[in-house]
Amino acid sequence: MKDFIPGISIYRLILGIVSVGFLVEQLYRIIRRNDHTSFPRQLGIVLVWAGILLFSFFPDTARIISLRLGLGQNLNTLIFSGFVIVFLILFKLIDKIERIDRNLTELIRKEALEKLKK
Amino acid sequence: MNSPLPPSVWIVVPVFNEGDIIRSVISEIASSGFGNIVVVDDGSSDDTFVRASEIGGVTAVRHLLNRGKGAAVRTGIEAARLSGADVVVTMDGDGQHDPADISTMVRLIAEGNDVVLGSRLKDHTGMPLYKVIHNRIGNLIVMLLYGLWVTDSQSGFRAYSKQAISKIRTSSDRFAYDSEVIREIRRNHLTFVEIPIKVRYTEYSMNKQGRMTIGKGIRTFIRMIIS
Repeated sequence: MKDFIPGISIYRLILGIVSVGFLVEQLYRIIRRNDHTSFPRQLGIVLVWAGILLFSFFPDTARIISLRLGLGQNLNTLIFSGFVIVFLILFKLIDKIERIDRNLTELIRKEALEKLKK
Repeated sequence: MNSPLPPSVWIVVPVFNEGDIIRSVISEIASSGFGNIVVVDDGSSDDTFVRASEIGGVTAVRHLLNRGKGAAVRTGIEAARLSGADVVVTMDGDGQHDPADISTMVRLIAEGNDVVLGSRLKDHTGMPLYKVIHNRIGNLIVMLLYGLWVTDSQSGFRAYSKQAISKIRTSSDRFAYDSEVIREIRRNHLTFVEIPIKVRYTEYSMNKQGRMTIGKGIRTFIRMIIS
């Protein structure tokens, strides 16, 4: 398939645009102090999206970093491990959300039945 | 010799934005001979709770936030238990279920069954085909996950004995609640019987927001597997 912009495939372009959007939004929040998240977390979000932006427009960066770090082809293993960690965090988050959800229901039930218990 | 006291029967009706029909649903239940009614308003944004509270003899309780049908049913069962119920019947608040079936359910509980399951699929005349297929798939999933075959695992029209109420432990707040009850029947070795129930598919109930859809069915299935 012909590239939308010569040298940049369509999926890389979309990824780049999405990451620019998220970066701008996050930076806007930081500047306007319109966010309740802590500074390290804000920084983390900015770094992740900046990284995605970098890799989408300059994919060779990954190879250069890999060589500099002495990882060689092991970078794939590192990325795979990253995915596993992300999924583990996701499951932990779902578990926590479900627990909060159950507690909320229990609280609402107690409040609803308060009148009957008197 | 004094005859034993008749069981205290409580009807639990979970409702969500049913202000237009709540009066007619309740009066139909009351006129079928069952006056102990708990209405659980699951955080409606309309005047359902106010209207239910105005009906004489009805115990109306309200969830401050919408927590789902399963959560509302459990609150209703707990309210009935606090009121001294021997038998609890749960039915939908959209007028689909016919209160004429309640007396059969209560009789079957009095005869020694722990749970009576109202089944729309024992006689599915008039039931839309997609609902028949949807429910049969649901039954198969419940059978595979919980090891008990029932003809309508998603029916909300059910009756429970006092013993069943004390033993059934569920965690789902949403539509998976109905399936979890089937799991609990098997886990606690509760006796159960299924009876055909009449279901009235009105324009109102078919167009109501919040009813079970294919998307919700898939989400329910995923939740059942995770839990």
